[in-house]
Amino acid sequence: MNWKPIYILIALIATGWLVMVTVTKADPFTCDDAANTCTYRVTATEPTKTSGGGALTNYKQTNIKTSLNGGAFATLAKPATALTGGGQVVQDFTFATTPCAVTSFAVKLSGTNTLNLEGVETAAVGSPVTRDRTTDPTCAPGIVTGVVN
Amino acid sequence: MRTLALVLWGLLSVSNVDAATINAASCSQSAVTTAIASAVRNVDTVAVPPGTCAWSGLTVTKGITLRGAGVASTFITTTDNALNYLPDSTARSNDEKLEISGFSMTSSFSPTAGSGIIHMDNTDPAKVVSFAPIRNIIIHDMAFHSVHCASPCAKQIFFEGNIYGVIYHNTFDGNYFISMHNGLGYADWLAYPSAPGTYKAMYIEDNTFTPNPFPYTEAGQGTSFYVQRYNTWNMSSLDVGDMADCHGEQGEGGCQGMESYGNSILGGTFNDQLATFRGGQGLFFFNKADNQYNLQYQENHQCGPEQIMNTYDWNNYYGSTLMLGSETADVGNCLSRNVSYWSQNVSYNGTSQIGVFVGSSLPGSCTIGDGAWITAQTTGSSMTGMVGRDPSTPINGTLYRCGAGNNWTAYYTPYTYPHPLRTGGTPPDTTPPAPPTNIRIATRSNGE
Repeated sequence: MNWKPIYILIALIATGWLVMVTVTKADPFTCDDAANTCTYRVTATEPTKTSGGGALTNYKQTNIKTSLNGGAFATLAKPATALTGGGQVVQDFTFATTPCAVTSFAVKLSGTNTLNLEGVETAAVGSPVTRDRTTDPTCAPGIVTGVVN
Repeated sequence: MRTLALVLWGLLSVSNVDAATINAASCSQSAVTTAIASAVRNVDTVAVPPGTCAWSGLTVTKGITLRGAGVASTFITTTDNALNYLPDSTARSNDEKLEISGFSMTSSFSPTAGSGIIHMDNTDPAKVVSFAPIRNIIIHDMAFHSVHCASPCAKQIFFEGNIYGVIYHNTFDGNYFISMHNGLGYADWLAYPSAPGTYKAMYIEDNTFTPNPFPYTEAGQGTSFYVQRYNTWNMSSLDVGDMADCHGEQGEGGCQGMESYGNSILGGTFNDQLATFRGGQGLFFFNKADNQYNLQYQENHQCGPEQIMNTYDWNNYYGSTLMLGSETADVGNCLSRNVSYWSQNVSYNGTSQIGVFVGSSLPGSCTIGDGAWITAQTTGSSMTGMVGRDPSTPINGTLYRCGAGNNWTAYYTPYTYPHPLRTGGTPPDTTPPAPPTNIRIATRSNGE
């Protein structure tokens, strides 16, 4: 093998990059199973247009609608960063997970103007996300808890 | 080729008409009718010169600006109905703007229910349904006069159907000032629902009312939500009646509801009503009277879907006494405090003392349905600069409503003041926002 240093460097960068990507994607639900919670961050960009395509000048709020396990959606209103929209929306949500069960968390967003007219709802990419704890060690087949031999 | 270019230029010119002012030859009904006929819809102004003329049913069917020479110059008299606005299908579909100003209009007694010095009708001729709301009605810098009559009698301005806009900087003296009514039932009530804090109402702001007995503005049997704000009422010892009325469950469609705030009621010695409120959603706040006035909640007929609901009152005073809404009639036992309506509670703690809280920050505890008016402004009876015509310090704040788990959510903020139609004359933007973009969910620990 007659590797030139540049190729080695490229290989290392590529390897590192791949490792980094792998770490990022390895566990998108880095939750605290000891505490039985997951914290998710919802991010979005406020609209700058009306649904008719005109410039938005009366943006009031972003409505973040969340649902746990397919239940009813609850709405959290985030005030607009400006009447013309365009700002970033960031909101954290912490919810409980259940051992030996799958917990799902769905998110959709909409905007409302100062006339209190709400636009259409759009689901977040990948929504709903799930936290599958059916493979927790304590849930493994054959292990029966609460029984003394 | 040159000919074709000229033709195209001509067509383009026609499509971009410049506004013109058409001067009526006199203030006579025939002269004004002729001028209106030649006016380009939704573009031109018809100017009416000084004089005194009698009108009876002058009809306008398209959006125009109709301008008198001023309340001290152009006098219109009528024995019943001076002007009818009956928008045609084009005017309705284009939501054309009608602006009327600069007239003094006087009605002599006429016991005709369903008429008005100015009458606007946005219902179908068969009176089965309302048309979609028209939103660009502006009446300003006018003087209206009428003599006393027993009910029923002609109104000064009478609306039928759903009509939104603004009535400002006018003076009204006499009685039965503004009425909204159509008698089209609950289907109509449902078709065009109210939306407090939005353009979806007729705004009556910055006017001066000098009532002769039986003062009234009212709405009932369907038709628009209305807002009375920042008006000055000059009362006398003769006055008796309601400053505002909203009809209830009477079989023809109740009142959608109303907002009343920033009004100043000066003088008067009778025990009158800020409002007799009988149907729909009401928001009554920051009204101030010299002498005792009451806010009545009533159901006079039967329970039903149009009865009083989601109604709140706070920071209304006569003298230094807090004016609280009170139930004075309840046929069918339909109404309940803290269920149908909520009033200010100065001892509010969210548990044993509930209703409406007023302050600068939200309480930690609340009971479902409670209201909280949160403001940085001074509250209490002084309301300096906050009430009456052309306030120097318009009311500013947000009404929050309590949900489950001591969770307050913003519920209502007053609509833009002055009304946007006053400053720009352009239709409100009614298109909702496009959806947010780039929506992502990520675990927080990933540092996103």
